[in-house]
Amino acid sequence: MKSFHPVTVLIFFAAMLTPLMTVNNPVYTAVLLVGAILILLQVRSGRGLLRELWGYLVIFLIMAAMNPLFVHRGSTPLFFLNGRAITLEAVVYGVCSALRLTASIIWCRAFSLVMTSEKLFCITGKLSPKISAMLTMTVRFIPDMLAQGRKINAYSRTSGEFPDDSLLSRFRRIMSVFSALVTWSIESGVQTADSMKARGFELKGRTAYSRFSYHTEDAVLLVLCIASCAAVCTISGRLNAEFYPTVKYSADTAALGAASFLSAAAYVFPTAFAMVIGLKRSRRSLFRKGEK
Amino acid sequence: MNSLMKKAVLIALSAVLVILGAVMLGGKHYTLVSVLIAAVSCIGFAYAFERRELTSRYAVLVAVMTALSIAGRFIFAPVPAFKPVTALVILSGVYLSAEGGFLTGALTALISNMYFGHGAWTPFQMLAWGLIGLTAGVLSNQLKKNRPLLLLFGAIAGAMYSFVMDIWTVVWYSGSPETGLYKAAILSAIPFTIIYAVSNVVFLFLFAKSFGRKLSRAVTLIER
Amino acid sequence: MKILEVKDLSFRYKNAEQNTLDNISFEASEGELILVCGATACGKTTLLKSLKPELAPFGDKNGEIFFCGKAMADISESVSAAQIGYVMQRPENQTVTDSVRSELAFGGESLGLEPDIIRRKVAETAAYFGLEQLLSHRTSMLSGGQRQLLNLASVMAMNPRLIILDEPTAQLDPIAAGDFIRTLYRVTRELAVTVIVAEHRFEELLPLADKVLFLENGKVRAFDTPENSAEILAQSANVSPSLPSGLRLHSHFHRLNGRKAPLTLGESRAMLAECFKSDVKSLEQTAKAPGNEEAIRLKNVFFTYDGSSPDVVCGASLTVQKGEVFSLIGSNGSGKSTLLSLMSGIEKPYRGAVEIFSKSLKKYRGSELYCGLLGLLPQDVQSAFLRDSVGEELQFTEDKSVYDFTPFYEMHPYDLSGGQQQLLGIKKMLMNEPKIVLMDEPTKGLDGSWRDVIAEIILSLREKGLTVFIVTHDMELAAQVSDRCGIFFDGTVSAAVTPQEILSDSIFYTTSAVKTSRGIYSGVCTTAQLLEICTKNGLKEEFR
Repeated sequence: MKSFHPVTVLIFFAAMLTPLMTVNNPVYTAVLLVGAILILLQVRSGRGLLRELWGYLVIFLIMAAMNPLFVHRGSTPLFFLNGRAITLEAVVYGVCSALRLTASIIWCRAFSLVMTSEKLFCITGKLSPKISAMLTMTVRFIPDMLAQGRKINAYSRTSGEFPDDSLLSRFRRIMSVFSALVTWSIESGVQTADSMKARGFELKGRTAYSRFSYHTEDAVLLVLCIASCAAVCTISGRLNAEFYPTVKYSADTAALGAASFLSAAAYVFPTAFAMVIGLKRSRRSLFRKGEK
Repeated sequence: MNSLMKKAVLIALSAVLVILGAVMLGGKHYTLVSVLIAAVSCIGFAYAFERRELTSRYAVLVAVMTALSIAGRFIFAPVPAFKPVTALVILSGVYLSAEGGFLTGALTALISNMYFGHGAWTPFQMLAWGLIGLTAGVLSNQLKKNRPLLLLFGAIAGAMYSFVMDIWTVVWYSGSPETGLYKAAILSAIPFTIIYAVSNVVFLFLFAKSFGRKLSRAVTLIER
Repeated sequence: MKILEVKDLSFRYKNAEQNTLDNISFEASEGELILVCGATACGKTTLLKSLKPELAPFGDKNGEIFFCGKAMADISESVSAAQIGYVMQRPENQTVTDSVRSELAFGGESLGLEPDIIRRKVAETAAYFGLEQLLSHRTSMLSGGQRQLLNLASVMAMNPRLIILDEPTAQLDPIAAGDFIRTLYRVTRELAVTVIVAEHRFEELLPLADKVLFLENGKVRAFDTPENSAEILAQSANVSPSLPSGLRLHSHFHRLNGRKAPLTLGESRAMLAECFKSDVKSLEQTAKAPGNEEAIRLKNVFFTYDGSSPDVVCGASLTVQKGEVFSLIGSNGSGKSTLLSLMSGIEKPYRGAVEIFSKSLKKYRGSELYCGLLGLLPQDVQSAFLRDSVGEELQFTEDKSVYDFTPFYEMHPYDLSGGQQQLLGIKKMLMNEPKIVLMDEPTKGLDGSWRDVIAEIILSLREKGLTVFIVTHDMELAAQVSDRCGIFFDGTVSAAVTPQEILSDSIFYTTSAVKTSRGIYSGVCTTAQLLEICTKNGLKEEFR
């Protein structure tokens, strides 16, 4: 996923999330959940993976439990809790929507991992080079501000101006620190502005440089994901299950198969591509070792 | 108020109307629709903004405000929901024009999600914070003169933002409007909403006065 | 070929009574390195900014400036953006973007260049300045020296013909500053770019500069080769403390019967050996008897910022006696400042103990330690300013010791000059009447005359019986004030001895006076001592 152009990446994730929000069919959701995990495994480093997956399971369980606890529609009461019915329909609906929720959280998580600031600025640069410049400036300010904030904070503790450790005194101190940080930021921002102006920021016709370029695989992925998204949204009416008052699963099997196949094709392609590239890379490193 | 601003206001208003319409009509997929509309209006704003003359000072000040509101999220991290973000967006709107307010709000949402995780809510959040800044900018003259009004505005904006975002998230999660879930969401959102509103008032109360001074310093620094 | 020509330039700020610049004329040819110098507020910055149309100050301007033969007012915006580069003092504030790559591309983007051309410019600039390994780094992760180099490189990526630099190395440590100055020199010689740089690192720059432009109160006092202007510089009370020892010696003995001013260390040593007698080999040292009360004691201290990274301080032990001035020297990023935050209780060691007046730091309650016992001057003095005016910072005190700030009470601390800011920090530090003061790089960014002011203050604090602990890489300061010096290296303090012992046999941790007199005289650390011993010895006949 990381080797694709940022615009492709954005469209890919949008195309994966959109059907997830429009189609309510547990089988199809499961297909997309598998895709989300595949992509997450591909973009994420191995450390702490199990713990993260465990976290998703917890979210899934909580969300699945929420619906029957608060929604009491449906015609098949399983048991009563505080005099309110816990219905089969609400439980099934809860599980289905928790599945959708978990899938979309994992998709979003994978997106956040792939969409590095450089990629984001490439997209915004296509839209508006000026805003892109402002974004990259903001991202450069933040760590410097935090560092300065730490310095001011450390000083304020030793200066004797806020002697006691009471809550109010601490609050006053942190507020003074933040206020001093605001002044410092504006002051250094003025110098940044000079430096930008000196390098022609105010000239007309700014361009945005990025080192990403389109390749054939981008085109393939774009066609795949746009086609699948459009198709799935068109046939989404024939996929939805009904839950209230009774669960009615009347999804068109052909449509379901087509939708699952198209979506799976869209996410399997970048996975397969990454695997092939990865294999080629590791073979290279094997040869290198042999040479040595 | 130039033509660009009028366009921005128009886009924003139509977006709000369509979202409201979608919710009220109970139309299908309104979370998706709202995301799309928010994205389109942000893109429209960016497109209009690119065609405008921009001084480096203005660009830097907006970037500084955005960075401060995100850095503020980290600095005040130990205190839950007590964050200077909305207050800074409002001040930015009041002192740097409506457009600056919108930009500060929208960019804050975009970049802070880089640290805290992107999602389908990103465009919606961008629009919501952007609109707070924009409104503050439109009311700039009144808000500058009238301190209680500014505090009131801060309280309402903070509460509205927190409330709308929480509800929206629940709707997005559940996929359809369920009154039971709504009630739960509203109940659990109330304490946060209150802290949010209070923190806005506190920050505005403490910073509104000195902030004008700090910003005007930047202006004199430039002219020196 | 003439790149820049300034004719009778005068400038006055709005509402100002005097001209900041008064009839300034000079010129610069292609590939020249011009050093601009002068005391604080002599008009350096105003002059440099006037040469860059984008940054030109507002006010009444008279006279003419020509760039490449064209009047400055007539050159187009894109030409002035690309061909005149400007680099300022603080490295962090000038970087605009978050990564090295996009920073190098920034200028090209402004000019509206095609991505392919930008890519090429980024590539070759990165290669020339040795930044290739850093291309994907965050700019906030770079050191000050790397960041300033990046600022220069991103100006160079626009193909300038003239680069103007306003104290570019003031915030850098000596090694990074030397590297930066040599890079500047390379740019002038290899790429024929004209460089105009305001600096007070004369030792490094005088041998390299083609011309020196010396400003005093907005007027040109000298515009000539370094040899010819050296004498005028040495006579100025404000500039001479920044000059290398050889030049001051040369001027002190009235140009030694017309001998050429020594610009390099070799020339200075030759001058000392040839012109002066050497009957008196060393000066009598009056070493101060060490006190017998411990003020600060570190016992086998270990510290790390996070468990997974190596220890910043590992096994440091040190004792500072009450009433002495102790200087800790060491390279940049070695953890000297960390040691200071351990002493001041900002950070806590994970092993070992810090004692203040024989009582463990842990046993002090917050207010006790910081109200009347410890005072701290942070490295970045601006982080000590928490209020919006000088008066509020000093709580409108009537006390005029250190420096009389009453005329500045309405001003914002940031509007003071660098030296005044430092003094404000010192004065704030002394407000709670501490018994021990800890100072982190008290002379950072300051020229020689301000260093002398700070040194005097430190000595006066010692007179009053205070204990002073300084962390610095300013060897001249360490030589002037310290009773004892320590070197911080590899997480520990080695060698806590007199400054003479460290300075006289170090290659790098040493002063201009030691380098000049080594092997000829011994135990001479400061320029004042060098002048003293030379006066005692007297000149050989032919140079009188």
